[in-house]
Parts: sequence; structure tokens; C-alpha cells
Amino acid sequence: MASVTPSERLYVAVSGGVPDRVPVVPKIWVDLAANLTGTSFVEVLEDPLVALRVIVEAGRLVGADAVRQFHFPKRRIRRDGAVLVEVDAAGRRRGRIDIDGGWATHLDDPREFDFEDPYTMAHHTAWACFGAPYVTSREQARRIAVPTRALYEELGWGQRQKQVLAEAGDTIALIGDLNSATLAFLVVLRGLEAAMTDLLDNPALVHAVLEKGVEIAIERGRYVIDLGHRVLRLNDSVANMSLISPEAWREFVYPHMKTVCDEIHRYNPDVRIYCHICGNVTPILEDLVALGLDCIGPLDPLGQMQPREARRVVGDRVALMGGVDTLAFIRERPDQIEKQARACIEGAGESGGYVLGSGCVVPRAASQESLRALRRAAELYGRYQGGSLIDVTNAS
Amino acid sequence: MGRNEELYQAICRGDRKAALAATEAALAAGSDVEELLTGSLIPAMKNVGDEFACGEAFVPEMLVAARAMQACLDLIQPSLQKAGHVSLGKVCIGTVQGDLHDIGKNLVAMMLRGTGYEVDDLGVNCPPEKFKAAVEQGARVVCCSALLTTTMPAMKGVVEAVKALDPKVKVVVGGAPVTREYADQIGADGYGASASDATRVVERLLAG
Repeated sequence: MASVTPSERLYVAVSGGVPDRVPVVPKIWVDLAANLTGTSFVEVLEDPLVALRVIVEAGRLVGADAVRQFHFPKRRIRRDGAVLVEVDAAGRRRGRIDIDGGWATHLDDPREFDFEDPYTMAHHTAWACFGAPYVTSREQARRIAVPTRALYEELGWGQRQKQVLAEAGDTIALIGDLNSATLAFLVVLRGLEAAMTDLLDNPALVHAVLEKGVEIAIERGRYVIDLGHRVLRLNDSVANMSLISPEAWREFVYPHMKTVCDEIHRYNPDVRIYCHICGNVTPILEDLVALGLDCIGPLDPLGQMQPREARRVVGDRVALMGGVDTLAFIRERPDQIEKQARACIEGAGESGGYVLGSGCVVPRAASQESLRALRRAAELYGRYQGGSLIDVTNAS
Repeated sequence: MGRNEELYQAICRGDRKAALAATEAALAAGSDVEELLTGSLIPAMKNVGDEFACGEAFVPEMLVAARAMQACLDLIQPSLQKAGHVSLGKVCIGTVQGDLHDIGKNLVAMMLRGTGYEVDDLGVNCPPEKFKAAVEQGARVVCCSALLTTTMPAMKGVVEAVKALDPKVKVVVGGAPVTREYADQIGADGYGASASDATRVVERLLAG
């Protein structure tokens, strides 16, 4: 019997089916990947191909079935004492890089963020707003650039991604990234505090910005589908009930996220979409099903999410992903993580349709051993036979 | 005397304009500023904090309520000073060194101000020396925030620096990756699981 590839395993699971075993997909970001592979942060920041490759290499090291792919801009980096700064072609400082956080550059002059520039908008998270909002009116929102596939090609996204896909071969699956079309996109352009108050003060501006977020996500989605990705991630790490009300979510997030899901599925019905909405999403689980998502993640225990409870609510209408406390990777022993992973598998994956993963991004200090505990749990407790889980530790 | 209902409700729904109008009207009518503060503004903010704690209000609602509250505080501040108003105590708050994120810190600062404390907001990326300087300026409680697992260890340095300067000063820690166990481990006096929780912890610590 031919062995199942990681891509096939992941695809079956996010489609709600029963693979040979539960696939393993921890959320590995470039910082952790750099640490695991012994790559310098500067090298990753400066070279977008390295950024794609380190995550793949890190995923292989820890036995993951799949990893996400993030397209970075080429940034020129200079070290100012203990701080990394981004500089322009002339060597002039543009801003400080949030190296302890998400690696965005905090621009010294927010006016340097040109939302009408397609290149900037192709990599907008690299210069996310931390001060004065970049976009301040609906009229400005209408002028936000939507990068085209021609630009992505020109920037070398396709060439780099095809190269990394070819290098990965059948060893690991690669997930395409739609980024965020909704509140996390608004936060990039308005900053977190303004984005939050906008929901009450300026709903028209919110919708105007999100309409552009939707256009960007759809254009990017069509492009990465054509590069060969069959599983896509749609992010909104802000649109959760740890921050906003279910009513606000339904008013501002649902319609825009649904447009993205509908259009991506219309473009290619074989493509599967999962969401990454960390924090508490319990009150909107039914809405997430109604969106047309194929899989809901990452079931963040820090947001009080429990895989078993999520499965009870959604039944077999949608696949689930995640559930392992992300802080466990730096606070607990591998055997404790394995135990937690087993509970997630048994809680949400009894009849398939489940991907084992972290409740959010794995901290950069996590060790290989702690991450490998997920794979071990999947091998021991996540094997299927006849449509149900079998415990291989009890098999003779 | 009872509370000013118009002002109370305006703060609760985060209506800055209406809250300012109600405050101006009350001042023009000769209302006691101390009573406006303790009878209407602080109870309104406490109400929003309680709703937040039990999941009936969310971050946007907290932010607009705090914004309305701050506008009113700015308006009555000169009168409060003239009347010899004394705050509940001086608290400093900052995000630890290396951490450039401030939403959690800002929410706690707003809640503390809304509860009647004098708050010295030190901003983000604060080295221990900055917290020490605030203690030298009179802060009796140091609130320390971290959003990231990478920056959380810097809290230990703040606890050590502050305690070396004055062991009686209390240190409260909080933020997404922080837990009560971690707070105990680094010798912090308190742990705030949320903005309203942090306010209660500060109250408890200052009550001694």
C-alpha cells in the first residue's frame, strides 16, 4: 500500500475526512524557525527566500506534517547597539524592528507608510501601525492599493515559492497564506487602540478599510492557489471575544470574511480554507461554520477554548485544528505536552476532521523536543482504523 | 447627595460629548467636584470594569468609557486641586524593556485612573531604571506589563530593582503570557489577570 504523504494527510483532515493519522501542524513563525535551525534573525529579515526556507526546515526537524509560508519583503537591517533597525537604500534609518515581537518595523515617521503603494500593501504587516493611524478617512481607504499578481510575480514571490515547494517535495505540506482581510488588517492601518474604538465611533471607516482587505486577500488567494497551494490560512488574531463582542464580530467581520471564503471556493472548489482566530471564539462557533470555512483553528486554551467542547458544538460540519496550550511548549515537559496533545486528539479527532496543533504561535524559546511531543502523540494516539482512533500503545 | 445620573450613564456608554456636557452643567450649577468624582465618575468606570470582567463589555467599550472619563477628569482637575483632593495613591505603570506593545498596559492605566489613582504612565520598552525613578517620585505600586514570552523575563529585573530600592513598594505584573505562578516565582506582590482584576489587586495591596 502506498504511503500517505503529509499533503494528502492534511488535505483529508481539513476536508473533514479520516486520514491515516492525525496530522501535526504547530504554528511555527520565523523567529522560532530561525532558532531551531540556527539561522540568524538578520538573515531571515533580509532574505525572503530564507524566510520561506527556515520554516520548512524547522517543520521537518520537529516532525510537522505542514507549515505555513509567509512572504517577507527584503529589508535592509542595521544594528544600533542592542536594537535592530531597518534602513533605506541610502542607509537612513526608517524605524526600529520589533524583534521581540512580530518583527514589524515601527516606522519613525508614519508618513513613510504609503498605503497607495502596491509594494507596501503587498507586505503591509512588515510596517504595521503602532502610532498615528496610516489611514484616517473613507476617502483614503478607497485609495488603498490592491497588489496584483503581476506585482507578486515581479517581486519574485512565485519563483521563490515554487523553488521551496519543489525542495519540500513530499516531505512536508506547505500552507498558503491569505493573511487577514478583517480586523487584523484594520489594526495594521489604524493601530490596535484606534481600530477598537473605530468599531463604535466610525463603522463606515471600518467597512471601507475591510472592503480593501477583502480585495487584497482574494487577489493574493487566487495567486497562491495558482502557485500550487491547496490549503490556505485566513488570519484574524484580533477578531475574537477576548477583545470584541459577538455582535461587533457579526457586524464587521462576518460579512467580509464570508466574501473571501465564497470567492476563494468559487475560484477553486478543491481548495480548503482554515481560519486562525486565537482567543475566545466560543460564542461565534456557529457563525464560523456558516462562513463556509473548512476548518476552524487554533482553539486557543488561553482564550478558554477546549477542543472537546468545540467539537460538541460544531459536530462534523467542519474540521478543527489546534488546542495545545502554546505556553506549554516553554513551561512543560515533553511528556506533559504529549498528554495534553492526546486529550486534544481524543476530544476533537475521534472521527477524523482534526489537525493537531498549538493554540497560537509557538514561543521562540520552545525546544525541538517539546514540539516533537506533538508528533509522538499523533503517532501513538492519533492513528485511525475503520474510521476511528486506535491506541497503538495497546495494540499487540 | 446622589449620583449625577446623566454623567454616570454617559460614561457607561462611552459618550464623551454627553459626559463633558453633563460635567460642565454640573460645575455651572455649583456641584461639588469631589462628589462628581466619587459619586458619579468612579462608580461609572467601576461599572464598566465589572461588565468587562464578566464578559458583558469588551475592549472597545472599555476604551470609549475610559476616554470619556479622562475628558471629564481633565475638566474637573483644576477644581479638584483647588479643593485639596487627594488621590487614592500613586501608581506607575509600564511595559517592560524590549516590549513595544501597550494595549493591555493602557487599559490597566485607564481603569486605575478611573478608580481614583494617580497614574504615572511610563510607556513601553521601560528598563528597570525607569520604574525605579518612578518609585523615587512617589509611586507606591509598580504595575508591569508584558505581551510577549520573549519579554516576560524582564519583569524579574523590575521586581528586583524596585525591591532593592524600597521593599515596601508593591509590584503587580500582568499580560498575555503571565500567570499567577510566574508572578509568585519572580517575587511579585500581585498578579492581574485582566484590567479590572489589576485594579482590584492594587486596591488590595494598598489597603495593606
